[in-house]
Amino acid sequence: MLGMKRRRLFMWLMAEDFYSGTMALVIGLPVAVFLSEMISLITAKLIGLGIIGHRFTLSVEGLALTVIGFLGIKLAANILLSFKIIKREPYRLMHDTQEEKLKIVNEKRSLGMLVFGILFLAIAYAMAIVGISWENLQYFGFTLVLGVLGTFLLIKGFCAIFSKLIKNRKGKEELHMFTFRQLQENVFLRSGALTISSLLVLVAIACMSYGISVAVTNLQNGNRHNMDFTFEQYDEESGKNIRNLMEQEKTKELIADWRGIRVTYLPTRNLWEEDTDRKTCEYDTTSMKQAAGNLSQEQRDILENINIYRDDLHMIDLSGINEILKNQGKEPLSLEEGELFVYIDPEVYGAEEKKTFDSYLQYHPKMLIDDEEYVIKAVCSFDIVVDRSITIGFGIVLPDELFDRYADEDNIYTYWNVWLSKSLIEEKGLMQAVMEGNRYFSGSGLEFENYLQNMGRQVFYVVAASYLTIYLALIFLIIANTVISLLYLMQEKKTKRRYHTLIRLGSTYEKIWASAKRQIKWYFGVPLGAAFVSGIFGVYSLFSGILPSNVRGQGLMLILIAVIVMIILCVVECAYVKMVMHISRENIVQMMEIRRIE
Amino acid sequence: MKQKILEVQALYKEYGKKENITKALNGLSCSVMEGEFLGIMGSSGSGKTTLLNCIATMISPTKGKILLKGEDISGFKGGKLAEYRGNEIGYLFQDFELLDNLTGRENIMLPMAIHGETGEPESLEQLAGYLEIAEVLDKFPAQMSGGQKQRVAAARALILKPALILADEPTVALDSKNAKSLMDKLAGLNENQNTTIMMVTHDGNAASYCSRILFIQDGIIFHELRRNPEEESQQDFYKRIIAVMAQLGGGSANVY
Repeated sequence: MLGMKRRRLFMWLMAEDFYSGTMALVIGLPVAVFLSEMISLITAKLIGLGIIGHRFTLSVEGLALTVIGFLGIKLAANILLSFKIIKREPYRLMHDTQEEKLKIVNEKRSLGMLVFGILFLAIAYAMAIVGISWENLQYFGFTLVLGVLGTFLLIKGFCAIFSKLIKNRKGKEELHMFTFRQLQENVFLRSGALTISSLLVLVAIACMSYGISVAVTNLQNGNRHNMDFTFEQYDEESGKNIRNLMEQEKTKELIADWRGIRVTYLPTRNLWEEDTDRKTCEYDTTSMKQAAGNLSQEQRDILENINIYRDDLHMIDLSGINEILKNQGKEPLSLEEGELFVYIDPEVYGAEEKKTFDSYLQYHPKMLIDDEEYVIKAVCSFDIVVDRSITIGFGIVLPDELFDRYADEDNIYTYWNVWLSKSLIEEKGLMQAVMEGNRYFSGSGLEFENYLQNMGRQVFYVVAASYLTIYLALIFLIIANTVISLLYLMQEKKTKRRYHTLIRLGSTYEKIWASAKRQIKWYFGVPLGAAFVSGIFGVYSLFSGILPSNVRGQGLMLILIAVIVMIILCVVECAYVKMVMHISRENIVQMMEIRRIE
Repeated sequence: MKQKILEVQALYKEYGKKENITKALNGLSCSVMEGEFLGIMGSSGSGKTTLLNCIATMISPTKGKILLKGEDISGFKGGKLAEYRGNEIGYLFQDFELLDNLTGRENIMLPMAIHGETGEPESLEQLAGYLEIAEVLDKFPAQMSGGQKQRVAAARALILKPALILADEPTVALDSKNAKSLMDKLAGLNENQNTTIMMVTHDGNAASYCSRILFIQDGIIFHELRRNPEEESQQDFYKRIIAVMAQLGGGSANVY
């Protein structure tokens, strides 16, 4: 109004934005570092590492990337926002005319948007549920674009159609027309901000339901702790060194037991194709394939996925397995003549695979090794080493005499598992005891693994798959709720004069409050309703697409937890809406007491 | 025999605290008769808008009584207060106070909706015709001229046929042509439909439409002018108004 140039005004606004951004970084970064350290400390304490064992680390590169990312997003947002308004006079921007606010609704166009919105969303969710979206990044991006676009069109179309319906409906409320116009101005024809909020709530619902379900199921599955250390004997010399170390007095004080487990490949011809002088044996899976014929296609696919007909089959000796079981206080396994166990890796395959294999065993699948027939008696699925010295997707467990009969002597690996003394664990706790053992064994110069590595990896998986999603969900939920409530309360403040006029015209508190309540319900109802409906499909998509293997096959439990989480989120959102209603009611009560401006 | 619609008895209104007290009304008493067009004039800060706001129940007086048809309005609360604001008085604001997101028709119908009256009354069409706003009934305020806005606001104030119209400087935001048009319409309503109007104004010309004018200074009535239309022309009455205003040291002498 006073003649300031657009360029100067723009520079002012950008400078103000840059200042607020810098302040946010100056305050936010130390707080973020502090919070992440607090989380690390709590995690360290919870898993038994102890606060002393925790080390503070700060990545300068990480900090720099955060600053660059933050400023980059702000710049991109500013460019996007400026693009639409760059050529408009500042005065016009601040005073939207009513014609712009209340554009005429084209019914056909709105209906088209609604139909296309539903269609796009249906395609996006179908792609995600069937699994196409998770195949590669392009499909995932395409699903994401369809989903976002579908949500925009759905909400816009829905609002426009509802705008027509509500206008023509004779409401019971006295301020029906006022309420409708308020809704039309702030919800029905301005659905962009609400759609973004809806998408944020959707992400929050999906992340929260998925994260908590996976976390709870993970916790229920418990930690796999079968031994404390594993030493790998890859040749005679390393075996000798391991034995020497284990027989030292100091070691004997530290450990309760140490036992070996032998692993080798079944030496089929395919394995030694180029070295035919070595010991070989015949291996045939025809009977296994015949037995699998009794299963459903889905079950057969799971077996194929485990790769049970592979030629490079691992063999594990039964006594090694039984030593592990014995140290865990469990009953040893036994095999009759002509029987064997199969082994599947618990880290790769979960309950679903085990269940399928159990069904498979009903049909008595058999293996032929050197024309000897062996019936698969059962499935073993537990860790045979402490971490990842060896990973066996699928193998067989044979009694020691059979193992020796088929194994190529030069190709046997022994993994020496070590169990710490119970008194040490009781005295110091498992993690501290393992750390002490780790310090001691490190001095030997031998290669070994410890339980901390396994535990660390499991914690990482849990954190990555669940805690991170819960954290993201909370952030998105807070942002979305803040945006919706601020939008409403700001527009209520901005249109305070309208409420004053209503009061002057004799409107009672009850009538104004009824109108405000209806506005709040719509204001929150549109984005939250859309988010919760989409959330059901979103969570289902995540479960079908990116479920960690260790919780697969526990679908019912996961869905049950997800439903509970969604109900809790519903309650939280209702409480939040109630809170906004309370603030709005206080505003209205204040407005009812009109005072002279002195 | 004309009835007394409104009676103000020894009205006081004080603003501020003990050390810095401002007496906007200082024991003012007056009355409005049925079918009267009463003007309230005075310099800025004399208390005229305070008086109007007290009658409109926008502010509470410090002391004194306001009786509408013999009933003390200070005891009105909740539904009764809303009923009074909506049905007994119609308020014409200087800056129109139209709701910018409602059309002209919706603005006019708003008091009806607030007071639970359904349907579109015949009086809406009649009022629209009389106030020459039929063509803007379906437009938003942003699409209307200042004069049209004020006439829509007048229709809104009149739609429930209240006992008393309170007009707070209704011509202040209008050009002389629109101001004259509005005053002609208000005077016509007063004359033909016996509408009682109480108007606060600075404007001598607008005031010349009134049948009686109270001049306020320092919160009390300083002077009173009456006009008998059969004996005195509007122009002569205007001259007398200007003379009193000169004594008060304020007011404007717009010529329509």
